[in-house]
Amino acid sequence: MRALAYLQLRLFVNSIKHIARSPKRLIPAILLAVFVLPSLLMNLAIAVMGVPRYGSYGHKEYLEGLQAEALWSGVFALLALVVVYTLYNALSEGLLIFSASHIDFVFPSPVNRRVVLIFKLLGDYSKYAMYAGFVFLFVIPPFFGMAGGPVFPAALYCWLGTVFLLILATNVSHTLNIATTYTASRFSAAGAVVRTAILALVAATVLAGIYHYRQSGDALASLVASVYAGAARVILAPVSWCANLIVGPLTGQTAGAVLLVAALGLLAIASALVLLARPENFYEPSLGISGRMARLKAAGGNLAALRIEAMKRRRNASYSRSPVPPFGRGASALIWKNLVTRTRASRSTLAILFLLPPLLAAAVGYFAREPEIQRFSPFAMVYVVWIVSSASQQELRSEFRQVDIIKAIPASGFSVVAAQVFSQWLLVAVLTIVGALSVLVFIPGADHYFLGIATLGSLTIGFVCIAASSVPVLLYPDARDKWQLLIPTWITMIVLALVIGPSAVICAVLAVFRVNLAIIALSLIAINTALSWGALAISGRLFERFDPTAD
Amino acid sequence: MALDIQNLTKYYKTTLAVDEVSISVADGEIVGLLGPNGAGKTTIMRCVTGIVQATHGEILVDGLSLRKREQDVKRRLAFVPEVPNPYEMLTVVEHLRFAAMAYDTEPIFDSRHEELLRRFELHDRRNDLVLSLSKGMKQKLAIICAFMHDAKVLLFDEPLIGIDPKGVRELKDMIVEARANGCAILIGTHMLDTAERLCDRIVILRQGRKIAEGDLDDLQERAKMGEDATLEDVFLTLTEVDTADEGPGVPSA
Repeated sequence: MRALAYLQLRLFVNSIKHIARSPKRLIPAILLAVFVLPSLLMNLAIAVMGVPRYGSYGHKEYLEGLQAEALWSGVFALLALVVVYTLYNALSEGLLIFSASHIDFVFPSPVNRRVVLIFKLLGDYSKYAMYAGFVFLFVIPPFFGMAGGPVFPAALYCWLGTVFLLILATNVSHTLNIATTYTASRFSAAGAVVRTAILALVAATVLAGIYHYRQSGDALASLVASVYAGAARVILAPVSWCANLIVGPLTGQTAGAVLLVAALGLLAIASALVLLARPENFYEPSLGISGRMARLKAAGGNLAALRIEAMKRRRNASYSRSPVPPFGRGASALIWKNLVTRTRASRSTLAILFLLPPLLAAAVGYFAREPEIQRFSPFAMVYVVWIVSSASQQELRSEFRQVDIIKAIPASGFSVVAAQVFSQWLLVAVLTIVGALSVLVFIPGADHYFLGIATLGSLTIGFVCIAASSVPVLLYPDARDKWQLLIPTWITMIVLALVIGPSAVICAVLAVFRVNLAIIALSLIAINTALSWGALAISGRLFERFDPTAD
Repeated sequence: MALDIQNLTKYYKTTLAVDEVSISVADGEIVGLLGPNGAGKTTIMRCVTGIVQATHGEILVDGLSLRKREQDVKRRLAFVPEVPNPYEMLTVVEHLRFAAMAYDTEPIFDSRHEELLRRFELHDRRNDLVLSLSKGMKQKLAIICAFMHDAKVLLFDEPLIGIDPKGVRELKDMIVEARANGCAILIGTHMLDTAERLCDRIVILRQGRKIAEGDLDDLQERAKMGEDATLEDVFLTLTEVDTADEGPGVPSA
């Protein structure tokens, strides 16, 4: 017991020191505190003092237009999904995740296995308390205040109720997991039965909802019919108690809240005792999942490594033939390498690239029949491309982590970075072209002139955004350090807002005057080429003195 | 026998990793556990340390059953994993203190850790976070942790990989010293020359089964080879299998 307490204390203290000693970690931590803390404290004050910040409307006015039953059903469905998903997972593979260090240094030690489990559970419970506390003590209280109900005890009950529910679900899951996935388990057949029962419950609930929707055509009423009046409410009674606690302050039905919290608390404690009484060696079922988590952590945001891990799980890690014929020399060979790995390891992403735009365009064409929406719909493409381009930061980061390979390539920093950016951009280009064709085919009211501008804009903006993203990636390369990730994310947001500015101005001004598409294209290409060149030049220089392992 | 593994069988779900293996290590004896990748060496070590539970069979340490007296057995064991993952957010000395606390040997902590840190040349790094150590230094740290208490049975899974020559020499010396002090030592390794020089007895595994056991003379005889044959020659002959005979193997987690 003392050894684990010492371990946890030192790990915590050293983590704080580690943050405080490095400006790269300390500055984002301070900025985060400066931005987030005041608003959290203000909400906490509301929770404690019960002073509605936005004025109180009373339950009736506040809930006007909202059905209390539908609100309850929504909350119940959300909580039930979390609980059912946790229980279902518990019956398929290891659930207890320990650090690789624990496996190497605690598992073989004489520290009592139950003590190890207690520390693990206490760590998990405190996380639940923190997350639920964030929601129910900092975020929700203003809503309770607006509903005119008592803020302080209600928020506290919600918090406690949710934490107890999560603890209960965790304990039951771990118990099922240890008892049914353990190698020599006598209960593996029982696990299969429980898993089938869970699937049956979910299927019955969904089917009841669909059936009701076909009868009534009212989505909210169907949700209520399948959840509020369904069997799930009875079977998952603790979930419904928690939903009562959360919705009660909004509907004014808070009587009996203490009893519900007490009942959930008792169940949480009882389930913990049952779990701790299990005789099985839970170390073993945790090995596989812990090992996988350790590898993912070691990958440190390396998306290629994450994909390979996913491929291993699908057991299709070996491929005999490259899907893309070899091409390129020096840095340009990186483009081929990136294409090969992406086509192998990201097939679902590629499928989305080809399927999502037509589906979205078809949906817009079918459902959004207003002429103005259809006319301006091509510009949605620019927005999507901008978002996708900004997300490429993660891809670039994972590529730059292969430093032993890419720094050894006999090419300039500019060429290497340009090759990486171009590889990412190819996907954006495919997305743009598929999107443009989809709009052309499925949205008859789309303005073709706007479509041309949006396509050219998307292609050039995509490239400049990815090129600009590479600068913060190379400034803050260590993806394993979550504090370092905050600053580049903020810088990226600012940089992307800046680099898209000239394109937006050009497109807006020239489109108003219906200037020839070729002129717009030339203008976009000129300005974005200049911007991209500048970004790549900076990134190239950064890359030449780049060390992803430097602190 | 300090360590007595009797008819150990281990299944991972439906995969047979270790099949009816019996190994015993006497006080003051070093036994080498050899075998190709996936032969079951790491699984045997993990079974002995209680990380995984044997499907069948019995493990006795100092006459105590692992199944019945797990904590007492673990107190008598020390284990160095193949690729150790020490706690990166502890300093070197904190890590050793944690090891001492886990094995309840704090009274000897001060004298023991200073000496071991000096022997493995980690003394200057004693207050550095493990995060800043190289791979080899982390391996040394795991070895020092294993020597922080007076274990009756030492288990090493590829202990020499990644350590500098001075560290290798130091570890070999410590293993020999431990043998002289009556420790039973089981070493899983691929380094056949080291095993040949260091071990009193060799156990060779293939596909989870024990295929040979004894000193070099016994193994030469088993492989029908002359006395000039090295352990490498013997090992390669004994572990040679037809491709069709090759099982799936169990990768180390």
